[in-house]
Amino acid sequence: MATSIKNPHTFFNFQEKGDPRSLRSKIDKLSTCFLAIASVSSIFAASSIAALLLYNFVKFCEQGFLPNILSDAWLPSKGKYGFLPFIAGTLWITVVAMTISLPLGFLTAIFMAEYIPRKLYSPVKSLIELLAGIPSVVYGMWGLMILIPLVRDHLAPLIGGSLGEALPIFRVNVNAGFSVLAAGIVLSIMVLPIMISISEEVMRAVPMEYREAALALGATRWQTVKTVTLRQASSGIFAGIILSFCRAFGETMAVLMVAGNVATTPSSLFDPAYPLTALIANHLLEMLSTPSYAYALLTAGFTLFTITFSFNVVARLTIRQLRRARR
Amino acid sequence: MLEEKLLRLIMVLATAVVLGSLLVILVDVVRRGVTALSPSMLIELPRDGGRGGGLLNAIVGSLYISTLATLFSASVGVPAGLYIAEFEGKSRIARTASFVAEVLSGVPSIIFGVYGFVFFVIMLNMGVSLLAGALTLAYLELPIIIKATEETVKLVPSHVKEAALSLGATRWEVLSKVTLRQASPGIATAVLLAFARGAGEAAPLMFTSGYSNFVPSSLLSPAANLPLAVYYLIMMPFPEAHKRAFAAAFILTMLVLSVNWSSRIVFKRWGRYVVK
Repeated sequence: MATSIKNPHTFFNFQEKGDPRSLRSKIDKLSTCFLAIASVSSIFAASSIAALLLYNFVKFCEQGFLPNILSDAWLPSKGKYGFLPFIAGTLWITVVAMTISLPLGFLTAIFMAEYIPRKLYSPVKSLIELLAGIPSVVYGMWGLMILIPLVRDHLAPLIGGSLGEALPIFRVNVNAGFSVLAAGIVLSIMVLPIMISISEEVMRAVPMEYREAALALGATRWQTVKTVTLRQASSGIFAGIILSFCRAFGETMAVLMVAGNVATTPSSLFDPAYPLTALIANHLLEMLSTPSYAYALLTAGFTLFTITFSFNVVARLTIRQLRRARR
Repeated sequence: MLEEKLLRLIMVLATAVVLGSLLVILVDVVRRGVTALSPSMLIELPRDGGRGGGLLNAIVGSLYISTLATLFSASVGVPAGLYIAEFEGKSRIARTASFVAEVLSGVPSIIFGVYGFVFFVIMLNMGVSLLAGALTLAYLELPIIIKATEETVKLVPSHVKEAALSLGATRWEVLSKVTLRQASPGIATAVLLAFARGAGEAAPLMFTSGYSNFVPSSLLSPAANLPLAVYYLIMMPFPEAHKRAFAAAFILTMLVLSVNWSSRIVFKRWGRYVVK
């Protein structure tokens, strides 16, 4: 004969669970609170960064520096804060870096997603992940020791001599090696891993059936890539490009070491540049001298933050939408 | 067919250039590092303003700062990641936190340095110190830990959680005794990756932890670290200092890469015990 349960309520602890005064349910509530507090504090952390930068930007505007922000006069002792050379420096370097890394990263990503022999895939992938792990000062050191002599002694005479006459962006005005080109090359290597891993991931996520349909219609492999994979993955690739742009835009140490840090607007690839990040890194301690200098430097930070922030939001929203569409 | 072959050739070339540049950099760092490295580099403090002696200050400083930063960051990031993964559908806080973490991961590292300098060093009056540096670095590591925790927790199969719930466990009991254990290999990996990321950063620490030629004696004394050692030493005009920069870069690269590598091993080893 089966033993019967006299009171199923006490046996299964139903009452205890439903009772709001019980210890277990209190712990349950408290723990949820604790987790929520942790989340709130991480939101607070991020918004306090934004608030600090915004506050100083507003102060900067209040002091009436805003109208001259795009002039090229940077004379902190006289209260002149023109950001043009720094913004131009950042843009030059980032554009050079993207021009080099885009074709390389894009082609490597296609190769890794579509063509690579299966045995080679995981070693190549882990090598690229390795590349992502190398600290930025190490890239900077490599640029300083190898790239700068290379640009100064070989690239500048070679390219400047042949193309410099016709195209002003290849003209060699000052040949010190520290240049937009050197910084661009270092950055391009640094952003490659992000670009490759994101684009390769989205291309791999394109369903096999789509490719098979194209192949069954007689398309060659490249035609399949062109008409199916790239079209399906385009928004994800776009997000990858934006994220790597952000990385290049905000990189500090490597650029600080190889860009030359001369506060003039560069006009050629071989000119030195002074990007925003390097400006902050070199002068942050001087901000204690005058309040307006502090506002100016934090405004530089605010500019960097706002641009990378908005680009990131666009990229993340694109990726999110892509994931939702897949589901 | 010509297009096919040509493009394939270009792709192979592009991949070769990418991998080649990686190998060139790695080989360069290792070659310079190995010739510059000696046992005294690892156990001696610097002498003559950095021109002689070892790198003990930077090695110990780096380990202190990154370990502390990872501790701070994990103590907020792991619960936040758990919350996001468990409550994303129900709570607006969770969705906001998830989005904030994603966006925070793209903020340039120098911005954290600026924030740390203004907020911790000046406003909270910590001075240029080990503690200020570690807190600043914790901000930088936070998104890594949050996102990785969130992702691994989401991967825990719902039938495992439902089994525990059906036995009468409360939500917290399921979370702490089932979900957290299932996710522990992933969380451990995230913590190690965040440590490696923190150990390689120089820009946030320039103004927050500062630099000193001694091993830090307290939380409020300035502390050196390896990335900044590389930077300061390579910018000096003396060949002896450059040699020490090469050694520092080699030690740093090996530290970061080996922590990265061990995070994978941890994931593989511990991952075997996870219910799929």
